[in-house]
Amino acid sequence: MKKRPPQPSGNPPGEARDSGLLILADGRILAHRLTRALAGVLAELNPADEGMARRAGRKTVPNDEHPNGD
Amino acid sequence: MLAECRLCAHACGANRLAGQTGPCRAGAETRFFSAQIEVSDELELVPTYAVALSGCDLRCDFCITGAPSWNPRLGQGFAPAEMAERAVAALADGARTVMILGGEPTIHLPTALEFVSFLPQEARVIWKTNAHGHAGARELAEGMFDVWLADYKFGNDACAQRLARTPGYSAIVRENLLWARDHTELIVRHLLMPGHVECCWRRVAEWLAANLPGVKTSLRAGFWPAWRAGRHAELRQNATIADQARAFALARELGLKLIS
Repeated sequence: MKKRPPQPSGNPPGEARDSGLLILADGRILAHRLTRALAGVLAELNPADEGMARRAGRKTVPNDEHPNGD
Repeated sequence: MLAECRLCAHACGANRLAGQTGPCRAGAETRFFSAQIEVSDELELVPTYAVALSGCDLRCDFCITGAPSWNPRLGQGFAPAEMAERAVAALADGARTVMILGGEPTIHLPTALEFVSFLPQEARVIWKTNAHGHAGARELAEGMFDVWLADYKFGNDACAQRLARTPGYSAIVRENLLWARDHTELIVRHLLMPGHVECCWRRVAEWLAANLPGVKTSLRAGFWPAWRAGRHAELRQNATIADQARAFALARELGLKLIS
């Protein structure tokens, strides 16, 4: 796995950031308040998910994938 | 505005400056429970600097943020100028937009407008709303936001009353969506609830097709049983893959302009 530089968060140093993940028994992963760093992790888990790759900042081609979330 | 509050459609008239509260329980102070760059919203809006204000006028039992959405006293005090500085820094760090959300930001509209006034003119500002605001509130907000990202959660008043304790929901949301179409860029979002494909999504989708043809529609299929969803049998689970497939098929049949 290539090492990536830290992603900006918009938060002052030391301030809590959080995202929510729900992993379903059938393998689906739902995400809430997804940060780019976490999107990068999810994109690694499923390289076929172009939507997640875009959220992670790795692809710019539009796609028809439907993200999870609220 | 807060001395006789009619910002949301409950129009309770509470004197929030004097400590009275209405259904949202909000006083005079605006607080926020999250402010960070996020990428989980619609692709054309992200990365966005999402600023989530505490408190809401609806009482959705399945609320994904739960306590801070229901309790306006949670979180930290909101200083508009200071938050605007953080937003500008986030834009410089790669955020494409600034999103104001909640809870429901309409109940804090005066503070939100002050916040926007500190942002640079070129900042693209998203108003993430439940579309349950009062007519007077939306008129105050005219021209202040580049995009309305508006929820259309329930396809009928019975589900809105049962799941969010909100009477007269449909007429209010429809009126706001029609107004938003004429005054700003509009994206309508619907969270697909398990067991509500026919009673909620179908009715929402059919209304959008008939009344807002071509509007960008974001069908969110990742329901999870958060907060007090367990009070309702059908909401104790996630939307099934079959439900999701049926919902997207319906959207295609009706010619909705889906975005992801």
